[in-house]
Amino acid sequence: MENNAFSIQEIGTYVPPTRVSNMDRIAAFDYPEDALRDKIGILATARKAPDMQCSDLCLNAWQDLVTKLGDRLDPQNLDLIVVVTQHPDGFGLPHTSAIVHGKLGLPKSCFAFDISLGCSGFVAALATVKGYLSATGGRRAVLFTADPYSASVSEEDKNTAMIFGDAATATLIEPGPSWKIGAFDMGTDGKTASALQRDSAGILRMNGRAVFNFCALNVPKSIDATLEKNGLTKTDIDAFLLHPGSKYIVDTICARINITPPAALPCQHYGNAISSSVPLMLADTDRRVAKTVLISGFGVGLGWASCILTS
Amino acid sequence: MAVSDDIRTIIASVIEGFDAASLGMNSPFMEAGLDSLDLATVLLEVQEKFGVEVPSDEEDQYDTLAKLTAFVEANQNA
Repeated sequence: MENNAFSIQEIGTYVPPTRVSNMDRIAAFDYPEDALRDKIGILATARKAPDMQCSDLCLNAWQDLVTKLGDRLDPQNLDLIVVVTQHPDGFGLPHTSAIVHGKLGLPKSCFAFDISLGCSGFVAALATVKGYLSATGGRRAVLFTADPYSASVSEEDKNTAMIFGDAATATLIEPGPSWKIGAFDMGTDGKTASALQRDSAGILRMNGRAVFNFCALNVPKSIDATLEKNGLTKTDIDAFLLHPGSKYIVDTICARINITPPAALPCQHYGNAISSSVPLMLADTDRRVAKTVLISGFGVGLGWASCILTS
Repeated sequence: MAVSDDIRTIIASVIEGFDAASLGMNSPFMEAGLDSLDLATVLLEVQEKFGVEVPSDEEDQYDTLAKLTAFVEANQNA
């Protein structure tokens, strides 16, 4: 593939320092410690400061991106910013990306929009960004993910409180040699939309069995379809980065595609960070070693998005 | 093979070391040592093997081998 293909150049990350220990929660929830370790696989969840909003999380991730890229990141040269969130600033109007745009002092020529997606959001937004840049002749975009689920999670609900954590990422996408964004496979099963939703009181509710069934049945097929669309087989993949909904879901998917599951979830100390989960795992992946990576996000919708990244 | 035997085989494959052969027909799965995640996998594999669908809000109705077997036998060719 050519070296001017749109690629992930760098990923800035932010995980709030405050943690809630699941080891402290399991007594109140009467939940077994071995199930916490072996099945949920998340030992603590990150929580943003109460007064932080989505755009604040984005700016923290941006700051890390600036630290990593230095002078190579010129805000005046950005053509697009996108914020993936379902917990926007204020009441959701204006879109949070416009607020981030203003706080960063970006040029008027830089367009900004939000994408309302959950755990599939980062991967799906890569396709949107790639398409936008191709359609407009743009060169450079920053894709933010920031979805502070703590705003919707009831800390009394063991189905969600021990899983979801707050975090944010900022990914620079521009032409370059690595990681090039390959072909995608995506889909939605809207009949299962209510399996993961906010209720009338604004509290997140999850039907764990419905989510599990959706993931176990659809994600292995999406992985196969993604490999086929990219002309690859499983043996070509250096790293499978699957959205860490829970250890049980990841282990089940790995068993169904016959690969070795990770010994521990990469997010075990901060939680399932929704659309930030995949870029957080990517940020910790050495692209000199993992030259061909399959990424897959799945959840709210319920929907999935998978893609191949190559060096 | 009887449906109940197939379900025992599925349970044994899902839960390492579980003595499914000794599972009583009327013993509630949860009391026999399965947790909700184990049960989700068992139900999924039962659905796939027998071509039935246990609605997501009805799993509590099929909490024993006897009840789940009866459900499968009633719906297998429906």
